[in-house]
Amino acid sequence: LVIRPIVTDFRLKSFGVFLSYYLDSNYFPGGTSFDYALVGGLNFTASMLMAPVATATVRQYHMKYTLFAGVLCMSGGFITASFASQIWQLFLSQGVLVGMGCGLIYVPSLPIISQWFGKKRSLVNGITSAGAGVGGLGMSFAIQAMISRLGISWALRIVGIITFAVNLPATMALKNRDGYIHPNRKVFDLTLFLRYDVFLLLSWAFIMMFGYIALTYSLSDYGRSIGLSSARASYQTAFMNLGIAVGRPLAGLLSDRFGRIEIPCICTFATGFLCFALWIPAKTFGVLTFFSILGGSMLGIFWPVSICIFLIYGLYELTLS
Amino acid sequence: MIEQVETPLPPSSELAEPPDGGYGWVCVAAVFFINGFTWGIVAVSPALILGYPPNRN
Repeated sequence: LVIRPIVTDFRLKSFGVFLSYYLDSNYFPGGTSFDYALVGGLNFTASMLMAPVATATVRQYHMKYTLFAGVLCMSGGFITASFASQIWQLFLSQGVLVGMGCGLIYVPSLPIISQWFGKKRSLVNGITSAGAGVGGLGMSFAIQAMISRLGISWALRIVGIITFAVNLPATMALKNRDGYIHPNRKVFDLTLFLRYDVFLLLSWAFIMMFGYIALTYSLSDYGRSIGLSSARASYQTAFMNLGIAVGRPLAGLLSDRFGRIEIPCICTFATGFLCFALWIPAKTFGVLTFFSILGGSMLGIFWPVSICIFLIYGLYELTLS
Repeated sequence: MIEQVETPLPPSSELAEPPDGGYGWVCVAAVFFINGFTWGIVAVSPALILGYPPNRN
């Protein structure tokens, strides 16, 4: 009885800020804050749904075709998003198409590093996964600058062109070692789902996903709601990516040494704890920045695509890599 | 006639061993950039969505 008014009050207050903010601007007629968040959710969902498709097409044709299709989808998604005038067009372009592209690029490139490296695998996986944090850090500043100088449409087009220019040569440089080893590529191993431990692992990944999305997608919104300037608020996403860039390789190394269940467990709990201990009381730029960096580094343990790994490569392969 | 020379292939287990380097480092660089420009961009795309309202018109 005591807690309930506080909770609803807090939620309504913050939610009201977001809602009025989006509704006042009314860029997309009828677009609500939920709709905007859904675009981000669609990225992850579409990329995960593409995992079996990517695995099947790699097995049937050549890895290069799948990767090229992914590059086209992703860049095309951003460029078509720049022409969107209705919210459903944004769902399809920046949501579904970009997400599909991500999945088609990421899934085939995922096992390649493990084929080339044995002893140095943790180190190398750490280096490559830090790429996401570094890329996110650089791009969040670049995107801010583009939006304020050129406007949203050209920012989206430039992002589309940049992703094409970087991802095309990078994907074409990839070589697998399928000639030497014969990986057992199963599109979906359904018997895996029946195992109790796999079910638990998937449940963890699925539930953690809610927290991950909530955090990444509302951090800059929250910054605005406590009265930070929009530039300072959007820096929060950048700070979080800085945390991911440092935390992700570290988490990989620690997991190798102290256990692949224990470290994610600790990190998951620590992230949840930080949300209550630091995020809710954070009312200034400094505290929120501290939370963003620390939270990002803890969050590094959970990689949204780890779900793809579970689904495709199974628990056995996961313990190997 | 061209004489066919059969070069003995090394045992498959030896080839299956990861080389721990070589072209692998090119793949590492490639995957680094792929991660940065797929998930890195998706992670900051809220910025792209938040960019809509103030820049209308």
